[in-house]
Amino acid sequence: MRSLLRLALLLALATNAVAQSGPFVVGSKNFTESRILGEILAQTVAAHTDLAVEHRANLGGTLLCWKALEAGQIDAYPEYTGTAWAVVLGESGKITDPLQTFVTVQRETRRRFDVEWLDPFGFENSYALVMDESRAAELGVQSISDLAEVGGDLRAGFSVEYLNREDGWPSLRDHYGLDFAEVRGMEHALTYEALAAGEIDVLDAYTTDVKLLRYPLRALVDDLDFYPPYHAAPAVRGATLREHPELRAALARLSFVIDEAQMVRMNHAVEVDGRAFEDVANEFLVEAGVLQPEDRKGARSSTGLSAAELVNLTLQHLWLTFIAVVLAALIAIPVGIAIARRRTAERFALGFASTMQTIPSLALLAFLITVPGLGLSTRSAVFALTLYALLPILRNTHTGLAGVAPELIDAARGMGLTERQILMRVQLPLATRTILAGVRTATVISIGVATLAAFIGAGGLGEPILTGLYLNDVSLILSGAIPAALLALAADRLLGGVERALTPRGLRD
Amino acid sequence: MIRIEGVTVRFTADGAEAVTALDDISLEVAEGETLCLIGGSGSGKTTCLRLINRLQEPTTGRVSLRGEDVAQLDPIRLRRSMGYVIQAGGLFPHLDVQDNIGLLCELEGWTAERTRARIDELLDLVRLPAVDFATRFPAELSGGECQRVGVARALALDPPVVLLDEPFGALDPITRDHLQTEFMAWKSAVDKTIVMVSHDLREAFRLADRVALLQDGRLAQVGTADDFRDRPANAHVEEFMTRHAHA
Repeated sequence: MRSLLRLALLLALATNAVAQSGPFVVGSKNFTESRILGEILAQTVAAHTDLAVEHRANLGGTLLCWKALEAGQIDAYPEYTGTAWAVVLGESGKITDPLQTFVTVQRETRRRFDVEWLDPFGFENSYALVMDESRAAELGVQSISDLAEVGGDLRAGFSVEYLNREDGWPSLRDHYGLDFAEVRGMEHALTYEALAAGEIDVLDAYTTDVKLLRYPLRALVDDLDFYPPYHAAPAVRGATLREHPELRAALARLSFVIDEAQMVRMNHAVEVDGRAFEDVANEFLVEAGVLQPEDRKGARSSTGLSAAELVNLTLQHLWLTFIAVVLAALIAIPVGIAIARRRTAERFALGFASTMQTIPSLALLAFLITVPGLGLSTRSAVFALTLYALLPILRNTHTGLAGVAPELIDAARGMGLTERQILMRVQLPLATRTILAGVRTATVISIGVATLAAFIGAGGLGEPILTGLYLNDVSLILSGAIPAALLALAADRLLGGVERALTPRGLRD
Repeated sequence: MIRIEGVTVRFTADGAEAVTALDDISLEVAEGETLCLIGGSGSGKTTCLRLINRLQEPTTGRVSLRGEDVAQLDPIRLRRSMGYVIQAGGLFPHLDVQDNIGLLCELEGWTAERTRARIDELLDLVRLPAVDFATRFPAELSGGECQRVGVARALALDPPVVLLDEPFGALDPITRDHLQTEFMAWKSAVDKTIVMVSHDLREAFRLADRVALLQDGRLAQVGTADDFRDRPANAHVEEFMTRHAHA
């Protein structure tokens, strides 16, 4: 048992790739604008302080970013005042004045979380409900109030975060008395396609979203002042600012430098022209005078993946899965054996493993990154994957052992085998195949789930998938999805072979 | 040699009322004797057999081996001093014939050569040529062959006592007859104290020195075939005899 623990510890240490303290870490969410703003923050700090800077892009949503900021996993990230007001502070009352919103958010997050809001970037990116232009014209819909009157036959497709947040769909529905025929949660990037295909009639959009320019869409007027103002600004940890006061001066250079048109242009440059985030941010900063022309970096090709990057991501992906499945097997097989003949323990352990599997992955990740020692690292991803891999292995170990014919156990006991010898000589060999099938299932599942590691910047093939989704770049999505699918198939074949090789000869068919 | 004294066994399934499987049984088996426990299903004959190697503990009463209370003996040592054969042999499907037979030898720390020699000797005894059978798996054996290997396995450590639970129960009549004849042969060759369970009266009379008839957990009669034929203990025994005489 001790050697097992030592092995587990070694594996855990091996995944500890990221050093604990050091660079100024900028985070950003998994959509184009946030990532551009994250780049802008990172390049500005790098140029105007002596700090080493790191940018953790693609973090999965407001909750995850904020938890990472609170836990010190990141030092700053671009956030919107209305979002902080509704999601972070949990306010639901009506607020319309931009300055009042900013000041309230600044005061409250400073008091409650020791998070400072520095000067806004200078533009607002609000939520809007959007319809197809001709469909809206046909129905005579200009404002959200109009929508309330004709909405009964319409279908809405909202991003999952929007469906659930305080300033999102539930409150909007109550505010306007909206009633749609159907409301579904979708990946935001896919809602435009769904609208174009006539699958849905209404979607939620960001007002700076370039997709508003690419499709003939009509943004509906928020005539009853539902939405709070959403001005973008850097949210920075108070502790980091006290330790490095020079950050304030550096980031003050970004005060009101981006207007809405410039932001839309940058989003366009990435999403439509396919230019790299770093280049777009860099070019803007030089133009705006925040960076000197000599800070100008050489242009990168595009957001596409090089073969080397793809190999690297695939290896990361395999490594994540491998460690998680090995850990899960090291836990689940002994536990499965230990609980084999104990009813209560058996019910408890299987219940625990099943419950783990029902926890939504983002919620689990948001919790794990706040745990000391885990954080925004591979370790959190491995931890989550391990939890998800436990159930198939535990259940199969249990089923395999329980499935051994009782008369064989009786024969073994009657011959004078000890309980331990019965387990090692009879039950385990007979259960081998079932247990290995569990490991195989866990591996295939883990290869799929490991794409979620990208949400906490832990790499893997989820990264191109995630980026491809919000860039609406199918080839980027496929460059992550195809290798992941191939990995799953290969793992299935390989472990199928291992299963056959390790199955005792007398049991093979 | 083996002595069962006033043993009662009650099973309590959770919630349900206790079921009496054996009711005040007393029985003795002499050294070198073959005793067959016989009775209908649910009569308690298998439970009675399992008392001897402590697969079943008595609720009250005492089981002793050569005067020693088996409850005081280490169950593992006790069981290794008694061969145990169950219906269809109970062979481990993941082990080949030689590993099934040699398993206990290996656990006892025998050298490979000694185990090897013992396996050959036993396969010879049960008339399965080692060349053909040693490396076969149970799935590749017929029912009769499985049963022979089961007997060989039970004899691996040369135990003084052998317990057999319906050893020929799952076989076709011809194979059964064949094996019974062989059983008689190796019984005289190995000189063991044997307790077996059967539901077949003719088999019992043919193979055993004495027969113990159990009915509803009680011992109805113990004796030789002649005792049963000539002096049935009561009307129930007589009825059982007539019912099974031609079975």
